[in-house]
Amino acid sequence: MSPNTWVIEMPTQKTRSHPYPRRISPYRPPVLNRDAFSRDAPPMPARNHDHPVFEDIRTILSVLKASGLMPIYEQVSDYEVGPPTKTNEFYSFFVRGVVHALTIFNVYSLFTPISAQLFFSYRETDNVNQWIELLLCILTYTLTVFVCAHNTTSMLRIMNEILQLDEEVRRQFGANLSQNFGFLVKFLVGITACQAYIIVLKIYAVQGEITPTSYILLAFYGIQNGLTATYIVFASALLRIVYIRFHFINQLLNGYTYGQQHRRKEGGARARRQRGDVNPNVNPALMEHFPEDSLFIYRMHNKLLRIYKGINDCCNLILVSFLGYSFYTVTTNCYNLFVQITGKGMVSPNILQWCFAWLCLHVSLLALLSRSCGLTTTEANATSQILARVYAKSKEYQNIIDKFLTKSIKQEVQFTAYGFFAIDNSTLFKIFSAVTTYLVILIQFKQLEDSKVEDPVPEQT
Amino acid sequence: MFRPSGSGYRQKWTGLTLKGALYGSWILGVFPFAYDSWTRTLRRSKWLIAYGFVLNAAFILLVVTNDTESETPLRMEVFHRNALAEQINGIHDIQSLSMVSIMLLRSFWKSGDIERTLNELEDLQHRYFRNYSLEECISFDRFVLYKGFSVVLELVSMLVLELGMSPNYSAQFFIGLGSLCLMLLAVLLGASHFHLAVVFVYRYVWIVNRELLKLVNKMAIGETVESERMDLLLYLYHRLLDLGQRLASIYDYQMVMVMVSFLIANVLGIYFFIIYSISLNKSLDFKILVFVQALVINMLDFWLNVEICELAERTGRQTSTILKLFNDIENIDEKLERSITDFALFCSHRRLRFHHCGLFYVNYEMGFRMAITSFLYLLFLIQFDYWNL
Repeated sequence: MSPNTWVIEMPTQKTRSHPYPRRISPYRPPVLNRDAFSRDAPPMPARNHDHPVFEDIRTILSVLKASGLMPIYEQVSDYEVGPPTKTNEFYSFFVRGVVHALTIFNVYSLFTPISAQLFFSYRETDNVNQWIELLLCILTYTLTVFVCAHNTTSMLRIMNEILQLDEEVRRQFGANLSQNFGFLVKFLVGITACQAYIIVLKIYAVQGEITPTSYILLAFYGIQNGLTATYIVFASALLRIVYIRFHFINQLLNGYTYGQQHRRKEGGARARRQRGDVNPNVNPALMEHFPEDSLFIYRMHNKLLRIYKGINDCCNLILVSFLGYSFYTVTTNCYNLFVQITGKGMVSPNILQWCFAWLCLHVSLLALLSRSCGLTTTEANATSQILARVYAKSKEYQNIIDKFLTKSIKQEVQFTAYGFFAIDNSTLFKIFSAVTTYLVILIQFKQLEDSKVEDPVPEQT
Repeated sequence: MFRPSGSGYRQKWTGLTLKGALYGSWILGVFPFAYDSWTRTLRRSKWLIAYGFVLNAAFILLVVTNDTESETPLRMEVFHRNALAEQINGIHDIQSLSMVSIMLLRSFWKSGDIERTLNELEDLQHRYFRNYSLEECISFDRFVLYKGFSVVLELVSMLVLELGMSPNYSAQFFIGLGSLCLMLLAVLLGASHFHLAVVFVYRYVWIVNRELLKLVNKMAIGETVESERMDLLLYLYHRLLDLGQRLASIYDYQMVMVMVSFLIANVLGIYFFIIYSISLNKSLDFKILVFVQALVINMLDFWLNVEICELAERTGRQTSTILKLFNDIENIDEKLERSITDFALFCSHRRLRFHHCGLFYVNYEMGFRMAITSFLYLLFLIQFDYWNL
């Protein structure tokens, strides 16, 4: 996607004169299951492949694999995935072919009167809106399939890089970076339920007998929506994974900050107890290890930034089209709600439910996406802030710190939608302010339309 | 500088496009410089300035005096239906003509600066970048080709639009059309000078980045690197950034006017399209196709202008990313470390960006905002004139 032909190669670490000694994780042994990082005490022996990589997001991955959006990769080892086999590749290719065939069929039905029975609403503009919504949904999903097919190798590269990084962290600190992604799975189930509810509402609202074509159109519409949502959840999960890694190195650095070092110096079991009370997650580290650890941290940070950028490049276009689609859907549903509530006629419960379901679905997805992006971006940018607080009593330490800080001045990272705008917590606010603006314009149009009907203008103007 | 960077087809086509742009500009009088091959410099020629001035004034005069466009039945129909469209179209015509005159006058006025900037680019190429392999810089070739292609497309779309809309082919019409096309070509070539210069700057920054990457990889495998190499790269980077800034300040008014013109044309095009198809209830026929292709090509060209600047900006940002890779290399020589720090500090305080008239930076973000604003203006226009629709 990037027009630049070369990639930034990371310097190989094979030439390191000595392997790093095994160090202590900045986290205490897990207290609760909810702890993001569990440190297994004895080094794990080499396992067979019974332990799948990315186990935390297995459910999301399997949905994407089945729908051809992700390659069905082979697991080479615990820390490496290989390209898919020919059969699996053919399966993905086949699924994508079916999707494109269905898309062409759906676009054809949208442009012909076959699908007319689905657009039955009480106002003509609403039909046009729903029609555009459907077209946007098809466009977004088709783009997602195309981009995913195009980015198969980069996705595998990103996964391998994450796994490689995990391996290094594990070798170095014995820390197993994993998190419970149960929330995302529940979220996905919620979205599926919401989508199914929307389709049922639609079926109930159609007058007369529904033709098989309409059924196909509706079912595929639901699947498209669901899969696009799944991809967005997957992107959020990937960002969350990167966030955990950034958080790990930040915590590692935190052990060297003034506050932590000061506490360590106070010494004694009493102080240690106090420390445990104040911040149970952080272990103050010995300053002597700082030069060594800093090199590791800097390298990890560079790699993580590369992964972060890789994810951004892979999802760029999908995010832009999804945000556009979401924006449109939210605006039109808000407008429909407004019309329903302020209208003089009967309030239709079907349309009300339909609007609320759509709003819930899209707003929750937008919130999830912007929150994950915001969290990761903040954590990535926090490294230099933490480093600035590191207790550097000697010239050597100061040099190490300055080395990183000079290269981080005004170099804030951002997760962008194709460079158009940054996606973080502020995006949600921006989208809603834009929705408000367009809503006002739409309402003005409605008033104009009403006044035009009431008071027809002479022809000569 | 105009020599092909390699022996492949792509590079040959790139060389051809660059030469085409150069000779076309000379013929149309928008490039008033003579090349001295002995000293490898461009010299400003007063004769060429006078030639360009007279030629382009003649074009403008011919366009104004042979304007048969307003009599076309389609326009009459649209304007009869919608008076606002006529008024806005009048404003757009005045804006276009003033843009052409100001653009040409400004480029003649600033020709001294342009001469110095282009000579410096040539000097950089000859002294420093001659020895580097340029074949791998695919984006450079691609953007030069796109630019050349977009100029041709714009011209063709203009011809199709004018010929498709007008039913009466009189001699006056052809004189007007010919001079209009030549004037448009002069403007497009004048604007493309800026973009081509930006692509050149991009290529040199790309080479600096590649050299930096080579240095990182060398150091990672334990080889020593002299600090002088880093200093030279910083010196080159500094000069390139300076050139970028100078280019942006020379072409600022021209670029702003060209962009505004593109945006107005796009908004008006869609507005006319809506009047024609919705309010006049015409069916989709050949004329609509002519209309849509003009719109699409216009948008593509606008986006290409944004994309070229974004490409250069992104490459400039990558320099800082590459410099971060030096962070985890052990035992760097103190002198080299200082050079790297200097480079990093320089990158954080100055960036390769194109700032026009202090108004905006040209990048994707601005392009997106402009597109959104155009859409909003279109909505306002429709709302403002809802009664006539």
